Amino acid sequence: MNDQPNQDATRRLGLSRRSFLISGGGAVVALIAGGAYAAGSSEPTRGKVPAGLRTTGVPANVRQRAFAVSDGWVGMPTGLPAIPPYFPDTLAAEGFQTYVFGFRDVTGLDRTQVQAQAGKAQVCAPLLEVSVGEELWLTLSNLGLLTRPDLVDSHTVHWHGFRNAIPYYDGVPETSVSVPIGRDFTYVYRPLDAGTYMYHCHFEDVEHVTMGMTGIVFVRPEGHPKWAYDDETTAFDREYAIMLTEMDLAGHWNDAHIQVSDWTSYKPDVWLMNGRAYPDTLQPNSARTPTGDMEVPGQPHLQYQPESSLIKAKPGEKVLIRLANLGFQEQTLTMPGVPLTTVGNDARLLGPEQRTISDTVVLGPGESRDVLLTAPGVGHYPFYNTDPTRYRGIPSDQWVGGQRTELVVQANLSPQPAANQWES
Amino acid sequence: MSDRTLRIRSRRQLGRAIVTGAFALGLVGITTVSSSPGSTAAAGVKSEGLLCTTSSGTTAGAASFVLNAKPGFINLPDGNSMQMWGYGVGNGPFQYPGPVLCVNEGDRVTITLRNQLAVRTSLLFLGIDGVMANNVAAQAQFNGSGVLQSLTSDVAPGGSITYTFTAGSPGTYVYESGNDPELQIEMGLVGALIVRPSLPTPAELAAMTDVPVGEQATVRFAYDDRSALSRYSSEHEYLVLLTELDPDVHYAVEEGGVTTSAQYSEAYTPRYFMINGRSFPDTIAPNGAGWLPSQPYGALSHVEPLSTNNPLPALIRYLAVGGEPYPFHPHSNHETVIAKDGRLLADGSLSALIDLSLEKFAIVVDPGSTVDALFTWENIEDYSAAGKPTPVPGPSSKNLTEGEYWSGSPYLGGTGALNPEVQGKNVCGEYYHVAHNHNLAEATNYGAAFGGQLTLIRVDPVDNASCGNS
Repeated sequence: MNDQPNQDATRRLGLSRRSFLISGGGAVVALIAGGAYAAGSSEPTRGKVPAGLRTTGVPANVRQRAFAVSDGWVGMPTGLPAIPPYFPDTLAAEGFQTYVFGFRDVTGLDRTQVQAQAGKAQVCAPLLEVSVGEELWLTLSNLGLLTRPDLVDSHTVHWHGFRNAIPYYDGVPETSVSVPIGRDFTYVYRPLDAGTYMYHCHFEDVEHVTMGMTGIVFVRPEGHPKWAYDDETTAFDREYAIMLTEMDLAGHWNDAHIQVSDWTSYKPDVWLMNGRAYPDTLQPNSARTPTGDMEVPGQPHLQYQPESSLIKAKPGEKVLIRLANLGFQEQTLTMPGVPLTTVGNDARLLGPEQRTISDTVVLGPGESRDVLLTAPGVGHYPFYNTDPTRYRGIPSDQWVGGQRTELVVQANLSPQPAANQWES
Repeated sequence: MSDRTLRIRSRRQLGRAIVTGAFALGLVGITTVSSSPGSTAAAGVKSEGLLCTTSSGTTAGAASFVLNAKPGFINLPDGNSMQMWGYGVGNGPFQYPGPVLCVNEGDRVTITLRNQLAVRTSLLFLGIDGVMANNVAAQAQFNGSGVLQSLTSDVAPGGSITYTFTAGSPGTYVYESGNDPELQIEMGLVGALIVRPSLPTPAELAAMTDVPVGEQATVRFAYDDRSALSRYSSEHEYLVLLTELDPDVHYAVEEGGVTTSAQYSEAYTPRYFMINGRSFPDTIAPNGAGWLPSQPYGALSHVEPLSTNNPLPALIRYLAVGGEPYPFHPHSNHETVIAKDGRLLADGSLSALIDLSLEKFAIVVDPGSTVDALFTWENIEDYSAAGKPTPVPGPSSKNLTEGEYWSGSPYLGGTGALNPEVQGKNVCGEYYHVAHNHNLAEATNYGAAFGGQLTLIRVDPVDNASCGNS
């Protein structure tokens, strides 16, 4: 954003705002924890159904997931140059710099634990997967925004690219329904087509998407969990999903400080892979604690950015990289010397004549690609955006704050238990 | 934002804009939901779908047009208005974008450009070969210092120039000004040219055993293929011409006397993003809507579910001008990209085509290029209240936020009571899906969400009389 904030208004807000938030935020929590449906409703009483998961009447092929949405704070790489007054944000909790909205995986948590995730939004959103032949029942609970109790936004899940969608489960508030604060809604998906898709909130889409409500969802072909598509030429040994986004940090600051952004002035400051900027992209995945918190060992500033973008494989292994772009810019990624075969485009298997082999892959906003590579010899192979000139960088490393990760090929590596997982 | 911008915007908004804005907000929904394929808007114009401007002559094998380049005004949904330069058809009024010129493959096309602007201008036909200008080969013009003056043969203010060419490969093409494109395309000198194929002949069509007899009257081919690759329904052909505007440029022209880009040095920052010259919600208003007198083209897609009675896809013709690609995302289903820049995505001979079409959920339309895509929506689950309810019963309305295009029911053709604060625009349980630029900053009106390059896809229940389909 080039527009200057109203500095006087901000300063006036500064001191009184904290106390306002404490009381206001508390009121919102109390409202949700009470959790009553509207008066006169014959619907189930809140508090008895753990996070909306159903225990009866659920067919065997159903995968149930529960997500909560709220706001929160995320961390950027150590040393990233300041952009006063936007970055770091002075309202941020200790150790964090940037205000976000986000989804949080609360599957299996009880109602109290779910409520405790208010204010703990994560970026990017949890990785979602489902197989053809299965159903995904995704329950979304809106926990409200603790830093912006004045902002009573609803939220949705839009599965971007779901074929033959009906509005009810498409998550566009204007053509469908959205989920108010203190309520939940269960989206049902019966995917028929394998591939890499994405999901995001569609409520006031430009704001909620760039604030961090973006994630990857992919569909496995039935009976072939290690194929990208129902085609044996897409077989892989390991798979990694990387969501590309950017953040205009002034826009995030504006949201925290009750300022309006003109999104046509959007100008990103950081470029992210799975919600992290380099070099945080190389840090491990988080592990979820029993209460639903996410911890990255030794990296407390990444506890709300749990997804690693590091790619690991053994020599000769087939690696599938699922790429999706929910930023507002077209991006070009390259892995020099490692041919990338694009086998899928927008969750569609490419025929032999349509596949491209290149070190480079280009994808615009809202596009996805599935690329296969064969891991070369032991070593580190950078995988990065070809335009680092715009990265903020630090004196000793121009890549800091940008889209860069690595393929690490090592001789010994245990089998991959799930997408994006690797041992250190 | 500069003080100058604020001042001029305020003045404009106090003027005509308040009136037109009120019309837009109040009438868009009403008009849209009451329209249906084949119904007519004002002046006997087809209310939805691609509107062709056809030859002003009657000679077979020839297509002739007269375009007048001149200034005019358009309206934006937020109440703003903008001076533009555009093309009028013959002596008709200024319009934005220029007319959709439809010709047949093999036609000798003659287009006379009359220049009523204060600057030199020209017509550049992207992807069209062998263009003649006043009977000599059209070519780039340089001034005495060797500086490019125009990308093609041009004409001085007050003059006219006649371009001729033979319509070649069928498809969708951009035409635009070849002079000072930085300013003149921004100002609105852009339009679409559509070349319709000569194949199949009526006899060939009649012999096609895989085209049901009932569809022979509506089937149309976008390309010269005898296979099924480019078949679509002539009742469902749509235009998506993507442009953008930086209002400061237009104020500089209107108020500051700027006539060339060299006189304007501010950073380019587009604030309005349009489909067919309109920003949402004006995009879903009918063709020829009275409150958009200079913006005749709507962008609502309107289909019924795929079925044996409705087997043909819709065709969407995408075009873009500007500086950056637009990633356009149709909700509800992939679209099948069958052609780019007037070339079918296929290899091999006409009789044995290798299909290289691509199903996409985000169609990237590059500046100056075109994409032709087929669209269908199939009611795969066929959820219904009586027969197959949604697997998880949803909460009642009062525990949800409802949208104005929502019917109140998950089911196609179903309706339900809406919350009292919702001013529903749904009439017969039809589905609405959005289709929009996924650079979401460009699906806004000056930054306000749910605007800009965004339109709706309307899906009607099959043979439903209350939707106007029986």
